[in-house]
Amino acid sequence: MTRVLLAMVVAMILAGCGERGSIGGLLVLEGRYTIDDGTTLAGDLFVLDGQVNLRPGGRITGSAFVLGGDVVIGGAVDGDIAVVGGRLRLTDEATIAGGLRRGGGQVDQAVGATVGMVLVSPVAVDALIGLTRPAPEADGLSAWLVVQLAILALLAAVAARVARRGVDRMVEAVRTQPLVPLAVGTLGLIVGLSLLVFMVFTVVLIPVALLLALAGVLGSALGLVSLGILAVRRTLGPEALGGRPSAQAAAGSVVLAVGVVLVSRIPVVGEATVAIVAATALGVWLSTRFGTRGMAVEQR
Amino acid sequence: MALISRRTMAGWFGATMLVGLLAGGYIYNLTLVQLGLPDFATRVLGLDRPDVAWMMAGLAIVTAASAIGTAILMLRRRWTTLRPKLRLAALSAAGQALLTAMLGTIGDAAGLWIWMLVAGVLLGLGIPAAFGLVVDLIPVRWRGYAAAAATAVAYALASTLGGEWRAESFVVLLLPPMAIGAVILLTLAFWRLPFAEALDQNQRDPRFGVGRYAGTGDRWHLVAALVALFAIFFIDSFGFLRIVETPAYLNAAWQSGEAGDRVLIAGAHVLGALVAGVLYTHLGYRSLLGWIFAIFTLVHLMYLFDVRIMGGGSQVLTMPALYALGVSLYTVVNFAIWADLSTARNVPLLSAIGVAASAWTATFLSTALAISWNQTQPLETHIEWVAALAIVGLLAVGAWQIYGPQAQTKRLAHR
Repeated sequence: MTRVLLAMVVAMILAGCGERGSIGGLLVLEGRYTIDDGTTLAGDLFVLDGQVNLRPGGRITGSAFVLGGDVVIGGAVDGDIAVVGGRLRLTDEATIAGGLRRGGGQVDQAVGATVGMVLVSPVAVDALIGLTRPAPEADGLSAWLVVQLAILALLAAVAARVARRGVDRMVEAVRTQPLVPLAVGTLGLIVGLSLLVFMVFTVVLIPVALLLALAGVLGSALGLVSLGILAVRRTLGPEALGGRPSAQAAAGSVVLAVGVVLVSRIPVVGEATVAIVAATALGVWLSTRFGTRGMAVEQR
Repeated sequence: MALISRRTMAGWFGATMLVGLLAGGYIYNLTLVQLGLPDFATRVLGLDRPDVAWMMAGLAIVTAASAIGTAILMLRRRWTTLRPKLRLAALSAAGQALLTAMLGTIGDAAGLWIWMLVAGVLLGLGIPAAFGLVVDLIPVRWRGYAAAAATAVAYALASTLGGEWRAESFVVLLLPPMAIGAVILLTLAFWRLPFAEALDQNQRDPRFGVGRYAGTGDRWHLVAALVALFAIFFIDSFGFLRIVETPAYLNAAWQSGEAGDRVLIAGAHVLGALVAGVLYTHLGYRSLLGWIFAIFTLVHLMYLFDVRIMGGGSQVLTMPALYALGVSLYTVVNFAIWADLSTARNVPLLSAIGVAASAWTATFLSTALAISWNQTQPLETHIEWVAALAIVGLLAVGAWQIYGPQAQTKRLAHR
């Protein structure tokens, strides 16, 4: 029944991705694209990098989101234009039915360009930019960090309690064969990320890619919880903190997070450590078949 | 130093030597034989592509026949102990070094035909000997890691080689190490050295002499490995040889002017080898087959996407790096599996059948086909076929994992 429901959800999402669906458009990651006179792009335009030129007479039926790259608008855009990064140039022939929202990047607007609404910098875009800014260096543990760690501990404890059997299997797998989850996770990360990027290229599969990415992140989080539990058991003994997995998960996750953050400040070694922890976390989730089975090891 | 026993030191020396032998042989095969000979035949001798395709097919057939013939001879003469295998490997290496030195003197098609026939015979001589040495020099539990080391060394060196892919360049690069290696091997094989005596009895030890898939009920493993590796070698070679015939792809990756690009590809090879070593050791070869076909499917679909949407020639390094990862995974399997399917007695024959029938035959048949298609088929059609074959392989492996005969090796489940 669960599989049928999952298939229906995926099918419904895919149904919205077609030419007549609610999700459509063009995602530009690199290269040069030109929308010529008389050509219409149905849906939204997302530009992460590369160059896009909407010539006079060309049209975009949705909105344009400029996150990077170089975009020249000389035609008509039915929706809004949001600029977060990169460079946007509006020529004299440009006609924007919606608004021009600028939260970052560079905008060059010709005098003759027609923009439907006053240029604004909405709070939402500012908040988005704030998330991408590098965090200020803190001296010691700030109050915000303590709150974050408390939330992490709580989530880890809840995860260890809710998915107890799965976490137990993952702890056992990484305890007995730590190299196998690392190897599986390395392949999973490389192949998975490549597959996700490939799916995003198709545009149609962006929602499915997002679902898969979300599943991978959640699975890796469970893997991290199991690594935290194992860290506590290895250092303080199996019966540490009353032998309660939820308490061990909370303590272990905090220690693991702090340790990874501290080590990550060391060049090369830090990056390698973060990669190893991330790969092992994902790998232990994959090699236990998402926590549903023990890890199968071939024996003679 | 005193704590390390003589036997342990001999063991490490033997394992290192074998890793060097396998890695060296593989580099020779990847560079001079697979890339250098077609270049020499077409550019220097001015032969037509179809003629070269026939020559490569001929080389494959001679190599396969020579390997199997040598293996049968080894079984009949009981040349299955360490020293005879070492001597055959040394003769093969010395002969290859001599042939490499003589390549530049060839001036016509007849000369190249003779060169290839002799090369095929010598390559066939070396296959059962070199792969047979695994049961003498590498314990079963370490074969995955030894194969990983050989793969990592071979591809790290082959990928970072600078210069053009020309026969003359390969000869200059390969000849000195080949000559030194041949002298070392001849010395070890024909002089009675203490280290060889210490290793001579290893194959009687079950930890060395009986492979992990060598049980009486495990014969289907041999068929599975033959079919799977034939398909993998064919798909890889068929696709790769066309991709590297596309200058934009070649110059942005394997022949990039930026050393960093080549180092990245070499890094992907090394990473793939290490991962494969771990997975082969703990999960067996079957777990790797799915990853290999999945990676080949993904990477060929990426190339196809690039050809269709972008017009081909993308500068993105993701595709060659993924390709390198997949190639390293299956190379580890190829290095380790044949000894693991065998006992000390039959390892020359099974290695010869395995390497000749799957690796050499598939590689050179696909090379011949790729050369022929290069003249008649557009890049898009070629990549379409490679991607289709990879998808069929992935589906077949998936079906086999679900419905195939259960492994005799028991699975331990941690629940």
